[in-house]
Amino acid sequence: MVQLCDIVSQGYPDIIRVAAFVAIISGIVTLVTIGAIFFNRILKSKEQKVKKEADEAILEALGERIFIYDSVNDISEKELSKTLKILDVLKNKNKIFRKSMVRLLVYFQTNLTGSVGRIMNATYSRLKLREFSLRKLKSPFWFLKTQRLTEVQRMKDVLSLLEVYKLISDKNQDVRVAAYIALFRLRARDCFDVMLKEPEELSEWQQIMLEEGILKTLDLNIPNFNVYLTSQNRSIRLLCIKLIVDFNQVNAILALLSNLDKEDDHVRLQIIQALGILNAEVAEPILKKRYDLEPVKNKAAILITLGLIASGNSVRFIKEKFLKADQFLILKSAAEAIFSHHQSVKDEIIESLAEITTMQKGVLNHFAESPNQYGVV
Amino acid sequence: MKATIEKDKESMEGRVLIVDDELLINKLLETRLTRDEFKVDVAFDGIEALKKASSNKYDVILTDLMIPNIAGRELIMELQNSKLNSETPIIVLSSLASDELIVDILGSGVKDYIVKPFSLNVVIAKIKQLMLSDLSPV
Repeated sequence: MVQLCDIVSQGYPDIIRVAAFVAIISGIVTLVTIGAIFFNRILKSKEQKVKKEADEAILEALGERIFIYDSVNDISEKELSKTLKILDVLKNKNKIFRKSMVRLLVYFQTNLTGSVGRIMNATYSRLKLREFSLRKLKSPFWFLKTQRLTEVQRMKDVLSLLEVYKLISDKNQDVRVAAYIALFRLRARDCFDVMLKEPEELSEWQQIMLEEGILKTLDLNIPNFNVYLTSQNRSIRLLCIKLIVDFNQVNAILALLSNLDKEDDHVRLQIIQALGILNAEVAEPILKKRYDLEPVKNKAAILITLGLIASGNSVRFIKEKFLKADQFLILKSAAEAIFSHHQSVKDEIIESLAEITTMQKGVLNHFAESPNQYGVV
Repeated sequence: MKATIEKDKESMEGRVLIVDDELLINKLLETRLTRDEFKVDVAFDGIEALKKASSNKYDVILTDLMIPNIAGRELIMELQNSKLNSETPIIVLSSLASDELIVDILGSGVKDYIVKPFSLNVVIAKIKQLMLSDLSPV
């Protein structure tokens, strides 16, 4: 290194001096990087050690002072204030202890029902951990906001509803979705209406999260989702179709049918599938009429849907599509539709299929050999 | 109620095996059961559970269904065929809540199926009830 410095300062040709300078700089950068990695590792392992220590201390305190009780009423006010004092000391020890305290209380509140779960919730409030968590909602980082929103819904912290409402207009879509879920979980009065304000398309994953949030919330006041089929946001309409199926809202069948003319191929596909699950007999003539206008995927879905409805009114239609199918997907779906019918109807169709090709025979055999999978009685 | 716990402490002395890969659930159950004067062993996976069950006789086994190394259902079968614990009542504690699965598991000879999130007091009461029914004369 000293020699390199000499080269830079003495009268060597410029190119050699530049090379020496670059070598010195890269050497320094390498050393600093190694140092930073090393320092970070030491810091991380120290943090892990403190975290472990914090977890153990908090678990011991919870085990000694909370897990032993059968009911909230069993704890005297004196004992409770003593417990809170101990937990408060632990909480105030440092940032890692406080984080551990929140994590453990949220964990136990989520995994425990009954009185111990309620005690966890009460402890969270009495230790004023809510205030610490509220700071996260104001953080510029989206992941801290979503973290806090998860805490809000898990701790059933209705006191934070106002802050949650503010986040439904956040710039980040993940934060907005987490806020919607929190509103569902907290059973906020107009929780479904806020979804209508979503300005961006929701990803498949976000739709699944919202669906899960709604399905897993007990005693949620479920609206008629056909109302939201008029939303300008295509992804909200898609989510509503799934929810109509989840909650078996047969009163939405007509609204779904009227949307068939307005929607794109993918949304129409979802509607067609939903009509089958909802056993929408009224949809049969409309679907048959639409058949020729639809792309192959939707044609296949129409056949499967007609099979699911299995009213007996579409037997000729399905048979015709099976015999004339020039694409495997159509052939397979028509066969599936045939096998979705009642045994006697199914036998009648198969018997009437004279002179079928080896391929058609093969597909029918495939469904005949796995009857249970296709719900055949 | 604390008095009830004290009373139970006097009468109840049994050995329980907890099988779950979640450290905090294990810690929680272990703390509470130890406080109620049970001897508690903890296993974090199926192999560890079988190892413990092959050398100790338990009064109750509490197991999750989704555990590493051996599937919960397989573990239950292995325990039911084991030398020491073939008669030991098993309680399943799982977050899987489908009706078909619960019916299926209960049909395999498991004494009880508790869905997570669970009430700690209910789990403890069920363990105690199973131990008492085990002690009562036939």
